[in-house]
Amino acid sequence: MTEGSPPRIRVGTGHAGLGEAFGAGRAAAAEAMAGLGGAEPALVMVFATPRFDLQALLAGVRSVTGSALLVGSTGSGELVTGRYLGFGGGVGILALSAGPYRFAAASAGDLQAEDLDAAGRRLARAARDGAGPSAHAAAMLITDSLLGDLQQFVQGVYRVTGAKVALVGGAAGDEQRFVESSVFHDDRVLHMGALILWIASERPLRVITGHGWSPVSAPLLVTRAEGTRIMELGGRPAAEAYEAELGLTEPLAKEAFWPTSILHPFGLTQPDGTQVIRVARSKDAQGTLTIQGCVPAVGSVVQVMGGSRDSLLDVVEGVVAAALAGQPEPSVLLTFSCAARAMILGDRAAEEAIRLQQAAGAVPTFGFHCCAEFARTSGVLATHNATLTAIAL
Amino acid sequence: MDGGESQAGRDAALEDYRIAIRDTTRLNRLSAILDGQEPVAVVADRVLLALSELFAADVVVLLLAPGPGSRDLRALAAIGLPEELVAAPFSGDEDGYAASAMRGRAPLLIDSAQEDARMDSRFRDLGVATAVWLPMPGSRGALGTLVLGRCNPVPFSRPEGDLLFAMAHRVALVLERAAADQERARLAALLRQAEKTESLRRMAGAIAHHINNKLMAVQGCLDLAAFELAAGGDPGDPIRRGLEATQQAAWVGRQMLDYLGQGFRPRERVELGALCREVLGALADVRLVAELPGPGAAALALVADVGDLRRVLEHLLQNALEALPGQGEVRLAASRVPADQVEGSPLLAPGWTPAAAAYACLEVTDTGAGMTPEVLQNAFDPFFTTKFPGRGLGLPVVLGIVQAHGGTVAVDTAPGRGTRVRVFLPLPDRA
Repeated sequence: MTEGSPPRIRVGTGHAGLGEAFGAGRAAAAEAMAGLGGAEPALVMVFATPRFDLQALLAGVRSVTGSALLVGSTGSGELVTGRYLGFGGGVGILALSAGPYRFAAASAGDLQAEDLDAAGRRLARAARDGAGPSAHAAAMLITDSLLGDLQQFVQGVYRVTGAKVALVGGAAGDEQRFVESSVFHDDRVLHMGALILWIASERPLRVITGHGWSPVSAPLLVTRAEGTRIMELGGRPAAEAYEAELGLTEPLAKEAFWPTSILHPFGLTQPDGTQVIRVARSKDAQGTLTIQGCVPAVGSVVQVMGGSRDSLLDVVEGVVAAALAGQPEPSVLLTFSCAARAMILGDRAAEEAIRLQQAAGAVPTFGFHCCAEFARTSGVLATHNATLTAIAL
Repeated sequence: MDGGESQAGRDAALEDYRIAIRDTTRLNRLSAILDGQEPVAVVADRVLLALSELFAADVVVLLLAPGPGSRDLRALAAIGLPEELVAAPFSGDEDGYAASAMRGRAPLLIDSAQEDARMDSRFRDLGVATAVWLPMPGSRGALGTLVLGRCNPVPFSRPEGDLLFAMAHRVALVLERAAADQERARLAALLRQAEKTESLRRMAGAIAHHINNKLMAVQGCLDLAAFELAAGGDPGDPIRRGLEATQQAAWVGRQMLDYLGQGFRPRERVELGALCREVLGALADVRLVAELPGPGAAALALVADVGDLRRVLEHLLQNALEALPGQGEVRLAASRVPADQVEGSPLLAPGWTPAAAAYACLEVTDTGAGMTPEVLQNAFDPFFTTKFPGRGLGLPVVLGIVQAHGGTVAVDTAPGRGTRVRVFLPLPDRA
């Protein structure tokens, strides 16, 4: 357990390994609550492996935290004050007193058939209205990773918030199986759902991203794309063009695609020359690629990216420093790192959590490995893959 | 060239390459959006989303030029402006950026938006640090202005402004075209509604008129019969005449059912050539010329109600003969046509598509006065007639029967050039 000691907000964290769900939730929550030093929790964040009985897990947590607002999701490994719990690792919990913030959340399940832009608008309005007016704010988005084009959801939220509200968050995951992920709101486990946590603040809140990838190919023009799929790059089947840029003489076997594509995501070139990362998670017999979370629009230029474990880890300190620099008295650093990063880092995955905490110093770090990261830093595009994002409160 | 110069040259080339890729992306993305055929609001929204992404603009607003009697501008679409701030008008003051942009022919680049009182306070409150205001020149003057703002202190460069200006011009023209298409579609819908209302009004009035006439006749006959009975006379004659009037009223009703395709009667195998010859024989008019298939292998055999088909033939031939100015001829032909050759202008059955492999084409051509487009447009509506006396039920009944048999009708006509009516009826697979 780590206890934060900022003047205006109290923070407690706790974790428990995979086991009997109610007991694990209760134990982790008790540890987190102890860090509040008797203060009332205003917000409880719960990130957990999908292998738990999730309903029982939340019941265990709330047997300790009572009716305090609870938000969270399943993920692909939790990040708790320098500790990486790993796939199937357990549950991580953060409890916060309100301090200078007001928190409110709105959520919905079964959004798979809905217009995600409209759903984003609806939930953003409800969350904003719940928190009430403030000079500044952040909207933390937690969505099911299998909803489709998650940028549509972000876009809808942005229509309501405008540029002054920081957008951050991550998509729930299921340890990279892409079968079922869950979002938590109070005592509910939402399937195909989304949640927006509104953080009303009197100070500006700042979102930071970093990824460590660099272009390794010539630019490719997206000539046909739909939903979360890219059909053609430069007029050729997308998989064929992608494999050619990697210098492969034979097409990748279906089962070999994901282990390769995770090491070579696409980079979508931004006006300032940086890249927003997109990971193709599968290909079909026609050479169509399925992108996780948000596909580059037709007319976009993408490049195949490359990186190393070192380059991915080396962004940690910069992200943490920039995020903390945005707050004069930071109390907690919330981090959303991609599950793909954990897979690539392999036996060095724990190093990311350690370096996050080392860079943050006395400020506790908390977050999880998600399946698409949300962070708006400029323009409307705020959905990322294989990226580390952070916000300090 | 030393190593330093060589490196600088490579860096410059790489930077040029990066800019070329970036601007290509910008143009490609915008073109992909503008090539679509969506309504104005959808096009505007997509354009703004793309511009926000492609120019790292946190705020993008498309303001439309003020209407008559107003100086203020309204946002057609906005990205990055909280939704509750979009509806309020934007100032169109002469010295404001919106009016200046619309008057000008170049982008207005603002590098210190926070200290600039001419910037709308909404932009300043959002933290917009740099901005560009662009005129949107349409074909008849400025359509409005496009504003992009960044909340970080990276100013829009002059080349970015020029590229955006060119894009704004293209966007304005596309929005103008989309608005015109939308207005045209709205007017066409209004016209269709008015025509439909007129057609219904005419039909309802004519049915009421016909039925009322017959009911008055029936009432008169029954009064007369009652008088005869009271006077000890013979009511047989008025009762017979009353019955005739009710039969005539029922005939109008049957015609309407045929027009609606609901006058269903049992169907049987009908040889079209033989039926045509039978009807021609009954009409016995020397102006009729026929070109018909003989019996045997070439015969056109349909599955239809023979009475219905006879009435189709009679109506078409009668109409054609009545259209002749005293001399001329009416030609009747029947042939087999494959489904892909069923065509005409217009083809009278909205949304009709072939369902059979082949069709019997019954063609009646006259050398008469022909029809104007206005007359043709109404010719198949019930109770529309240019003849006196005329009931206006012949062609509607033809259309109703043909549609009920899965067929369609094509008419080619022009004033002074005669009329050709082609009726297409589906042939069974082995006909």
